[in-house]
Amino acid sequence: MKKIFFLLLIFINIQSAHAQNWTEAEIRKIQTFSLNSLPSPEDPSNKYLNDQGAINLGNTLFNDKRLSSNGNVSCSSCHIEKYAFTDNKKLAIGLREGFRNTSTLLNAAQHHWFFADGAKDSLWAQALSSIENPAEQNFTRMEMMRLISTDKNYRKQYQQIFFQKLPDQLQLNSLPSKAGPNAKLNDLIAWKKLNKVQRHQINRVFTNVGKSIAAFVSTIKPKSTRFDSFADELSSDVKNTHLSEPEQRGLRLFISQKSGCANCHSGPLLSNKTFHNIGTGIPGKDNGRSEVVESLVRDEFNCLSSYSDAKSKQCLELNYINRDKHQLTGAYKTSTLRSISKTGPYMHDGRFDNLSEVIKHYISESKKTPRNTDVSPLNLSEKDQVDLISFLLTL
Amino acid sequence: MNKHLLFLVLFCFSSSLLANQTNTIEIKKVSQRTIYNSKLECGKVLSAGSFQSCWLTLFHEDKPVRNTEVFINGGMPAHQHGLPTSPRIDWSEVKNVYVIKGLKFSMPGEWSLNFKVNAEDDALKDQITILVNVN
Repeated sequence: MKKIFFLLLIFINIQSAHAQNWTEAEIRKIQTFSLNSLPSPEDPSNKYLNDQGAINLGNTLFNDKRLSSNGNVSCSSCHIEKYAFTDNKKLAIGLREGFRNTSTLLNAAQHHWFFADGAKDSLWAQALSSIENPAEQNFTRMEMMRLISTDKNYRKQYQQIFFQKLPDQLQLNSLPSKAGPNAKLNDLIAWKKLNKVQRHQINRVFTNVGKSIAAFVSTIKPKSTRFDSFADELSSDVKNTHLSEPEQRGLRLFISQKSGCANCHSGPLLSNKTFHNIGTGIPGKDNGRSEVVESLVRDEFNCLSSYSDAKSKQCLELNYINRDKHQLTGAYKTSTLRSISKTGPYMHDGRFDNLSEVIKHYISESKKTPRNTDVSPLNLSEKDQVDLISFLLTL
Repeated sequence: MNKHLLFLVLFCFSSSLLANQTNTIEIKKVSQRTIYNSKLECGKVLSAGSFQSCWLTLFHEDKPVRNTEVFINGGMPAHQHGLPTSPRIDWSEVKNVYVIKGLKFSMPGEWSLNFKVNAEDDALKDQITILVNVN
């Protein structure tokens, strides 16, 4: 009898050494991160978001290198599936090196703002910005209309989806080969020489292409991970072995106020989708959100524009946009932590190669006086940091 | 015994229903210069990440204050940052309250909402700061 009691005690000790006890509040918090609580993506500015024809067209366009001035760069050149739709480079390289790290497209459609500084308010406007950007695809909107009108498959698909008549060869002959408001000088002059109707027709094709690409991108979703299995099956009375002991310690730290991580890295995306100053801006050179808010309000392709499918009252984010430049200086969008093991280097400019450097940045930023960032005081031991990284790699 | 058990189950069920129905926010606060009594109400418990439905009522010397200019801003004192959006507050003749639109919180915790009552009469200008908890 004594022997059985002794064995039972050993068994209980082993169990408690290998299992974290989670409170109901912690379980509720952890389950808010589960992919199961993610709603379907919505974008009132894009009525083609769930149109299967638009999704198929967008898929082809996403991978088409002809959408670049040298015929060698497509969206998928930087958004590579095996790297969680990033490129594993410090800075994106399209036609030339840009100044931002490539963001993952996993669940991109769940965001309200796009690019690290949120310079665009829809996925379709973001796609079009990259296509025209001289450092990325450098493809003018005139070239886009020409391609969609002359490629037999694109022409057919486009007209079936959008019920918009494309110009025939004769009409195209009267238009410049390249033209766009964001292009180099000659092509900008060509754009200015077009009349209002011609420009509107080109913009209509261009924005519909953007909406198709956005429809495809909205289907890009992360796979369920060990963490999701852990969160979905977590209860206070059943042992959950999907995460190891260090990973569970890291998770407990992640949700605690000791680290404060989950204050901003919240919800199924592990991002609150808004902007914070964590001390990564470069004064006078790269001030993040504060530099784009005014242009965003006037953007020709924003939610309130004539190319948007949304009613004015549906553009809540834009209608109530924070325009306080002082508050937004040095602020960037909270990155999603989903698939973080594949999305390095980290931060908006890819300045950190690994997660250890990222955590050390937060610790050092939190100790600065005066504290001018949103980072709260942080005191993490070396072991805490190792545990935290173990957990992050399960996402 | 069974009757008692049934009563207990029914009592617990009705209590939880009642709790869900009354899951609203109501905070009363006197303005800084004690000119106004204010009441902030929200349709449900405040949460981070989505637009919130809240409204404000103002009283001066026990009489409701209607259609005066009110401004709103706010932030998170512990984190030294402001609201993620620029909410607006306007008098609603239909609802007879000051309706707050575009209010959002970016993280859980204690937030401060500041209301500036910009009455035409300088003697009636005042401010109200209300602390709210966000889940």
